[in-house]
Amino acid sequence: MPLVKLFANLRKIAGTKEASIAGASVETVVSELVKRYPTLAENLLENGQIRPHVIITKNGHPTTAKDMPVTEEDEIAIFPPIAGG
Amino acid sequence: MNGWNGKILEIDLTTLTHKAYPLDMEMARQFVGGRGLGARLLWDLVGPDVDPLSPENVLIFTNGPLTGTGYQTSNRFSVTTKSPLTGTVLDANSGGFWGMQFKKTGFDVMIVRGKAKAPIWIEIKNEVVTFHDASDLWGMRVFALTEKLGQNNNKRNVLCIGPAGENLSRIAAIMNDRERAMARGGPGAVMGTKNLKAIVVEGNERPDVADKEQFKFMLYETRKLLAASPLTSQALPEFGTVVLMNIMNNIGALATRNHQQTQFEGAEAISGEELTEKYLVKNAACWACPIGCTRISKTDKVEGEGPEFETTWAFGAQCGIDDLAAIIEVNSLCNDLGIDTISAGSCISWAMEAFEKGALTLEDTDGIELRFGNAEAKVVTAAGIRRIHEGPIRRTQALRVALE
Repeated sequence: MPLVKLFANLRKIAGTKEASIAGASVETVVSELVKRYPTLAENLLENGQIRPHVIITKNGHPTTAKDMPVTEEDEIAIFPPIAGG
Repeated sequence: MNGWNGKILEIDLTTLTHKAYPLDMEMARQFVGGRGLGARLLWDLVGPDVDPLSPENVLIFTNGPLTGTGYQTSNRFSVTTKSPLTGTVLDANSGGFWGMQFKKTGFDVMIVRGKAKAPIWIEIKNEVVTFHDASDLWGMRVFALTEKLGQNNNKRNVLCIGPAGENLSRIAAIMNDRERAMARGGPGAVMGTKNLKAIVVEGNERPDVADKEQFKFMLYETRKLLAASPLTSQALPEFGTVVLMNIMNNIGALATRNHQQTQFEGAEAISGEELTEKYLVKNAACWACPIGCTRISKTDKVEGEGPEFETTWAFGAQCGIDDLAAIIEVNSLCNDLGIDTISAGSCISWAMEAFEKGALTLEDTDGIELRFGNAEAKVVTAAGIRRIHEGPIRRTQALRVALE
């Protein structure tokens, strides 16, 4: 299954740093993630869709395509909005 | 007066005199903000023939029109000068409290010219300027000096240099409010060459705004926006700017081992998440800032502000060091000595690469194995900085090359 890694306050909200989540696209992986960790819903979803400010990368490449295919070996990283310096 | 006081304070250290005159408001409007105004003033005051470490160079401290008004995050101020590191325009800015307090003295800009015959420090209370002998303060580190001169965040604020500035290190910072730094380009060396150890400000002028009702409305609206944003209400207060570490690493944008790689295997160990979990005492904020991204961190050896993302990157990924406690301690040491953490970490990473490739030897480094992330790296880093800025400057050949 694809490995999902969570960062910043998403870890505290979910109570975990990472989880193996089934899904064939970015959207379905996020949907399944929220089903397993419902407390993430408010931070990741808005009207059932992935919030626009949530940052998602697949194997280190940022993606905004919800239907981006995901394979068993892929790593999906999810970040809340982040800035600073 | 639309946020401005409308006054420039000019100090001549050679004659220990000062004068005040009106700020050209057309210039202030055209080159809005501390940075713009500072660059414009420098254009008139310092030409290409001026040596940055000569009395002819000037230090220009500037506020913007919002500084000190109470608008959210309106605490930053700038210093502009000719850089002893690059030989061109230097602008560095800082948060904290000093900028707000300087605005309350009744001035917008302070231009410092010349060179004092002996070490001095300047005290500005409202519009009264006093020169004090600083012979007994020369050599003091930043933390002790800041306390000695009476730092009180909302009433009296200290800006100073440490031993790095006195030794004319080209990466010396000007420090304010104990652990805030105006750092890149070596402004601390310009202050050091002028024999100016500190500038302390106290004031009770409050800058006026053009439309008080509209200003209150904007304060209210901004407060709502900051509270609603997950960035300013969650990520930054909880994890500080180091929250950037993991995402920069994830996307391959984290310069590592002196830019030889773009990802660091130890990034998680030096991340904002790790900092919050293991070393954070509490968060803190600059004046008028509801975000509070400042970290108060504690290890077995030190407790203080920071580290910020860039510091953690420079001493961490760039040096191949995944020991966050060591990075916190080196950050504290740099702040106390008044040295730019980003430049110091980057220079040391350069020296590490040079050592690993044989361009520097044990003879150059006084026997220090200056390798990326080795077991002694944290000691090497701290000891190297201390040697350069408290011992004879040229003793450690490797770091002399790196830092000069």
